[in-house]
Amino acid sequence: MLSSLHPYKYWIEDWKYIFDTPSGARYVAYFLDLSFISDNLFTFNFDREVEGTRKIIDSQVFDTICTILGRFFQSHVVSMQLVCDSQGGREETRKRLFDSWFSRLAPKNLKKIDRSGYAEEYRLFVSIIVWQDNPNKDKMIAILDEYCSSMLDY
Amino acid sequence: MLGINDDKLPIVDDNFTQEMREAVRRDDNQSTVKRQKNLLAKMVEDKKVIIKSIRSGVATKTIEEERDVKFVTPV
Repeated sequence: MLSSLHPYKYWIEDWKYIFDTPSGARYVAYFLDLSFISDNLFTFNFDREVEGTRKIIDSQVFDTICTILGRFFQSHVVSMQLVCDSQGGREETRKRLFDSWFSRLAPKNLKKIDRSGYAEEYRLFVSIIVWQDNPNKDKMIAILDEYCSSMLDY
Repeated sequence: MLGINDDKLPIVDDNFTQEMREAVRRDDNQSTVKRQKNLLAKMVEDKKVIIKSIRSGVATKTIEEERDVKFVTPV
């Protein structure tokens, strides 16, 4: 799958993955360590570096993000937790976008488990992506369930 | 000589102690739930603050110290 992608050239700077698009947008992606929740657990985020730059449908942005994530999963027996940002009330849109990316990107043995709960002002979508044969898979799912079920009584 | 006078021993009400245990257990559960909610809320807040900081040119090291997060480059 990764070989069929056409990513932009990205580089690492100050612990962030950075790439530019021909339209002038600069994207920043980064992983945060969540080992205080569970070993080998990370969260991933990306956004445009400059707010308000014009959005252009650009499949190579998708290819670049998928390349970073694909290499991450290729090289690590790890899990990734994704929390959809609620900024602008667009958390459901972000979740749908990520779902569509994941269905195009993911090999069959990579599993995405989705949960959601209501926070004070918005609905929070949380997903965890884990290899099927990850020995800690059940533990990761249990943690996710525990966290999200605690939100449902808001 | 000291002796034990049963009449002067505090009366232990089994129902009362059971209620106390339940209350402690409830408090523990509520604390756990509160911590979990706080952690998820913090993660959401971190995302907002971090992208604002990145857009303002704040160094990663400073963000780490201010938000108590750790950037990693696993790829």
